[in-house]
Amino acid sequence: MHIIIPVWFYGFDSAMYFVSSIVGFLLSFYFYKIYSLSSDKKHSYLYLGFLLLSIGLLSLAITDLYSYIAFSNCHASCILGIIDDVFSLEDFAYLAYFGLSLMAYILFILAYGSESPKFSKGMLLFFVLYVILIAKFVPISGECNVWESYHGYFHLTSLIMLIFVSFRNVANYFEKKSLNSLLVMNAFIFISLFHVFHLFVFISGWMYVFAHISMLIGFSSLLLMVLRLKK
Amino acid sequence: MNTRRTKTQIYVDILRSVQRSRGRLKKTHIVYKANLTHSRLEEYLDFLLSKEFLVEEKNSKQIFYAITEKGSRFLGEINKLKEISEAFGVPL
Repeated sequence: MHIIIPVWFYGFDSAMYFVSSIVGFLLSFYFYKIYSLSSDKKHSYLYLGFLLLSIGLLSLAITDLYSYIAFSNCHASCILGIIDDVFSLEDFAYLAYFGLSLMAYILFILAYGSESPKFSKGMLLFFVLYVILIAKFVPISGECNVWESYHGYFHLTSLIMLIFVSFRNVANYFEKKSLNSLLVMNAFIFISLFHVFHLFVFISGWMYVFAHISMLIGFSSLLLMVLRLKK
Repeated sequence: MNTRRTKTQIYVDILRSVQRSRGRLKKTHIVYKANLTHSRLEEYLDFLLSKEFLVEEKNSKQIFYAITEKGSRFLGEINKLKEISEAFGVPL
């Protein structure tokens, strides 16, 4: 599967990953503070989850920016060696991001499912088997980069995980009916949409743009929630 | 409805009871103001003393527990942390 990225969008995605990672680090910091008070596992899962997600997003922001700068400097006279270096760096960053994000989403599921140990163990087992099956049996296409080959499977897996987390947050909103819980629910729904749009990036470059706008809306909702509390 | 207080709520209750009593209180008074038993209070006091939210003040034969500046700041910040955790559906 090939990924279509509009040329005019180069750099914007990097900036969006960067902003999202900062918001993630901020939430990780708050959940660390909450965990240090409560010693509750659920809070530690959210703290570690946001931390891993932020590291993954930051690695993408840096690598994407580096690759765009490298390409814009070499223009038509690109030496094949430079392209290979950039792509192997992107492969590494994307695979790191895939791994860190999946770990983060598993931690989010544990945070919301830890009240029912049977359920969370079952979910965890299901996802571990699912990821192993994908890693073992999905062939890597020789025509694509490593990260492009795993792209669809990663976003599908992430979407399945985030649907569960989003449902828990929808339930929380209907229970609390507060603006803060609405913002968190909104955030998880838009981050899920990021993965939905990513599943269709081979159709049009706009899917890539919509995916990143969804991600930015999601993380902006979380930022707005934190800023409201600062007042 | 579950009305059991969380650990954090008990820390807040202890600190508030000390703060409302001109910033220092004897252990016996904390017991009834924060609605705890002596044995349970010991465990919570250990945490609050280790975090430097409270300090022990010895006055002749009596021991008082006084709230520190860090403890007062904690009370101010706890509401924000509670709102964040409630917004995520994982109450503090």
